[in-house]
Amino acid sequence: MTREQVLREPQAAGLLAELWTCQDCGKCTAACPVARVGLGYSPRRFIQRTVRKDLDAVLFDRAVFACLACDRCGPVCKSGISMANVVMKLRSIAFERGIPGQAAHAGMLQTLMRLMARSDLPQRRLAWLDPTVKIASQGDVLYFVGCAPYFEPLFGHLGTKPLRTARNAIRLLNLAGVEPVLLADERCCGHDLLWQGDVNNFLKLAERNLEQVRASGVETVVFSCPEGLRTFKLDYPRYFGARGFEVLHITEFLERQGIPRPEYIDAIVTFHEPCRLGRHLDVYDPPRNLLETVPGLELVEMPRNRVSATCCGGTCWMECGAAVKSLQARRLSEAARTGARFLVTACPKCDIHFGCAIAGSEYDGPVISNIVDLMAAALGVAEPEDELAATEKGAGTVA
Amino acid sequence: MASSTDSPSITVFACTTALHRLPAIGSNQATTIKRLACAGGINAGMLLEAVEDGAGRVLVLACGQDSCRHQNGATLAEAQVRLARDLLTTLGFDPGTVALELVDRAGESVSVACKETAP
Ligand code: SF4
Ligand code: SF4
Repeated sequence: MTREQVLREPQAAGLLAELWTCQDCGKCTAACPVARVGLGYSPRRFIQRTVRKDLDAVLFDRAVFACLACDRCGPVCKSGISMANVVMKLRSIAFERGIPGQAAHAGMLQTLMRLMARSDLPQRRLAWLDPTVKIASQGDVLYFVGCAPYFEPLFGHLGTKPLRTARNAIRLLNLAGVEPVLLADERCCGHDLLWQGDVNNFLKLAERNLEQVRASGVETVVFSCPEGLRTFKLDYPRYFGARGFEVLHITEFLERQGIPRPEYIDAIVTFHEPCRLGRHLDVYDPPRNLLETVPGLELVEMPRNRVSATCCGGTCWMECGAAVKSLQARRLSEAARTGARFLVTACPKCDIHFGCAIAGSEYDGPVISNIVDLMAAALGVAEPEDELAATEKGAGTVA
Repeated sequence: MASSTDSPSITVFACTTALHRLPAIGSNQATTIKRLACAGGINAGMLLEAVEDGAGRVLVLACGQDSCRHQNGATLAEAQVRLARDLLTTLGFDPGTVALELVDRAGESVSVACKETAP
């Protein structure tokens, strides 16, 4: 990448200066879960190529989209290089030049997100609410539902129930004494379009969300999706300045707000760290603290946890393939080796990706359970057909 | 055959055989025909993309259950049309924007309900 090329590309500003500090040590490649499963991917080699080669050649390198932006390599780099930031910048240049990478699901998710970026959209996105959840038209707290109303028809066949998780999230907020405000015209947060390089449509989505949240007058926005949280917390302010309201993951909010004492659940669980929640936002303890409030529940960590946890394999609905499936299989085996009955997640995308990995296989490892659903079961507010509520709860009594 | 004159543009994803049986479908100027080896090859993403590109109506034309050369093209197409309609309903579009029609050997077509499942 030459100096002239960098000057021509505003998105690449600072990139070359950052990458020139690379010491070619290979620590990133040693840490990278994609490099670990082979297929010739190496962040070290890619960074060296980016410094030395022509930008046009670099943009066609599969590594631009093969990187999961999981940031597993970021904390180990002594030069402070974040491959996630590097690919975010390169993807926006690639997108502008019509090199958009290989979209998974025939690009359907991206189409949906672009449609959601339209201004004239009479969405019917709250049809899933039922009388057991209490929401308010005004208040201090807003629950940002995320794309669950779209994920449900798309991925329900994988056994995931993102709308049930959304209802359970509201039930937990209700138990914490909060009736949240919901946006009838909430849009996709734009995370996946931004990471795909489609900055233009990301900005439209961000603008519509910020406009609505600000108009609602709430002080706090709660997310059960770490990608939405990351986008509101780190990306919106980069483009639109100070938000003017607080953003929290639901586990952070419930920990702060306090919840009633859960019922006894006699089970070992293990926790899968969502990349966006852990490494991107440094939220490690709140989900664990919440699990600890459940009597009888024993948390056994996987060997790779917290900052060294590996990704579920999702990368903005792009480049799903052999490497992704292989690292999902490895993560599920790692979870199974803990002896856990539940693999607890805290992200709807992790639920979907693991659900996909085990669909149609002979997997008999831990049951994938979103922390929101597990806590709802422990607190006696889960839905009747919730298998966890029906079979696991109340196996003992609270002393 | 549903009227194609009440919407500004219509995109038809058609199995080649079904299209052969119903050649008149392409006579409307506002119709864009996209040929497929089998309508079972359609996916909801293609249907949404047609809506995104401005189609007022998107039609999937498949051979009837008993005359599909690939055996289950109509069944596969129906599932994708239903998914597209579910997603369109949530987006706020008229789910009827996307429709499925089956054409029999005699060139007679019949609409399939493909009722969306979204609440
Ligand atoms: S860890 Fe950092 S310094 Fe080492 S090769 Fe990777 S990017 Fe370069
Ligand atoms: S961000 Fe993740 S996938 Fe990308 S190079 Fe770093 S460790 Fe590998």
